[in-house]
Amino acid sequence: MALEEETRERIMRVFEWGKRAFHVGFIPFILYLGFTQSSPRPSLLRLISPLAA
Amino acid sequence: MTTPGAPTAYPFPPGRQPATPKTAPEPSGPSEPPSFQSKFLSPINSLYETFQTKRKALDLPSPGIYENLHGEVRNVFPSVMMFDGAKFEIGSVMSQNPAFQVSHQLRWGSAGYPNTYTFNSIFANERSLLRGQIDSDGVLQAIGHYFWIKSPMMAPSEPGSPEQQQQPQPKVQSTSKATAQIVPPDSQGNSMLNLEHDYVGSDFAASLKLINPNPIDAAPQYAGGMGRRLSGKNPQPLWGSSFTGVFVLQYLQSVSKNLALGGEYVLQRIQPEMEDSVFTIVAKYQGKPSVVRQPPPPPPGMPPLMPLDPVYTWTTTFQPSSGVMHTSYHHKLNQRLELAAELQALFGGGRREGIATIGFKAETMFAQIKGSIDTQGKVQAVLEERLAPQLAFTITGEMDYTKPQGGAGRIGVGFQLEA
Repeated sequence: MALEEETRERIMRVFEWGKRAFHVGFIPFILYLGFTQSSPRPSLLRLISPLAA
Repeated sequence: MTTPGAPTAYPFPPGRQPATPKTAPEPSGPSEPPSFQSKFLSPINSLYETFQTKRKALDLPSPGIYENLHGEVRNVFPSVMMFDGAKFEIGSVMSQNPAFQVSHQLRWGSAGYPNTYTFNSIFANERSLLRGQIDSDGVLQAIGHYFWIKSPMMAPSEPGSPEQQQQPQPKVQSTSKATAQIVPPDSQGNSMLNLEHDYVGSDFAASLKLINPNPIDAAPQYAGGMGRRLSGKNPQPLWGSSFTGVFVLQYLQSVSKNLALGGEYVLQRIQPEMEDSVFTIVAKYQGKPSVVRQPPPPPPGMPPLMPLDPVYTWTTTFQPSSGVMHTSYHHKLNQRLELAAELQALFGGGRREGIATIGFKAETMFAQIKGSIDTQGKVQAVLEERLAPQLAFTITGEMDYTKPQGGAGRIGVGFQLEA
């Protein structure tokens, strides 16, 4: 089964866009999950230094 | 990772769902008279059940997943912990349950590795594990695991960290894994996607991997005009799959208490016109667990002893097509000292080459020492000292005696703070 070349390019473009979004959003997503799911909620300063309370 | 249908039932805790089921309960099988099919299949079913009962009675151990073959040896050799230059890492444990950790790592002063900063974040609960790592070049490494069978809280260990925490895992595991590496658009290097499913049964393990799968790659160009639709604007081949990628199938089966056999099949189809496959066979022999050599129990706070670990493991993988053989032997002398030997050899293609490595790993209360030497004259050693429970200091050294002028050496100094 072969796709038309145009369709293929369109799908690839959407895929590239999704890849970019994933690239930017993955780590913020983990941090968001971590901060919302953890209890007690950790302080933001601990992101930078483990010595912060 | 919730299914679209989940939110309707969400406010109700399990077991207290509204008493209005949407679908009528299916008629249960046993109350019905036996159908033709069940009569016809019953000998096969009973045979299957007999087989399963016999299999259960053998009580074979789980062979472990294919990827962990040679893992005992890899864990002994210092090579995975080697780095040169300086490394500084601070990590924060933000939460224990669910596990949420972030860490910052700086590496500099290395001859072969650029100075980099890496940010690492991990989130794990009993159903899933997410891990993202981004470095100063903008390269993202993303890992996501989903445990279809709930796993006890895993303590995700750092890749270079010494203690690979082994908590008792459930006997049957079914895990979907996705790994991606994404490079920024204007830099070199390739993005990569790896999809994988591992199933570990009570006496076997199987995994399926898709590496860079692309179902809509360009259509294959082979066969000249044959099979091509020649009329019309875009001549297209009528046959030939345009699915590209690398596909891996791995299977391991315990055949006795000690022996596990298995194989790996790799199908490479990086371009639609090219196809290549490699088959690897493997045998793994593990000695019985020893209950004799047990040291006194460690003080509280130390990792627990594992008296049921096999005393020795012998693993061989062989690729008949290329003639590559990899044999490893791991021996646990006692809870604190492990020895390992490894031979990687190539027979075939008119060449005979090999490299053998031996190494050890010794653990004391506050330090871990690893060393190895191979037949190419490379000596490696690592010392990791725990200055305090949260503070580790690492020195690595490597000497390559095959290099001119008496050899080339590298050293690395690392410092790790985690709280």
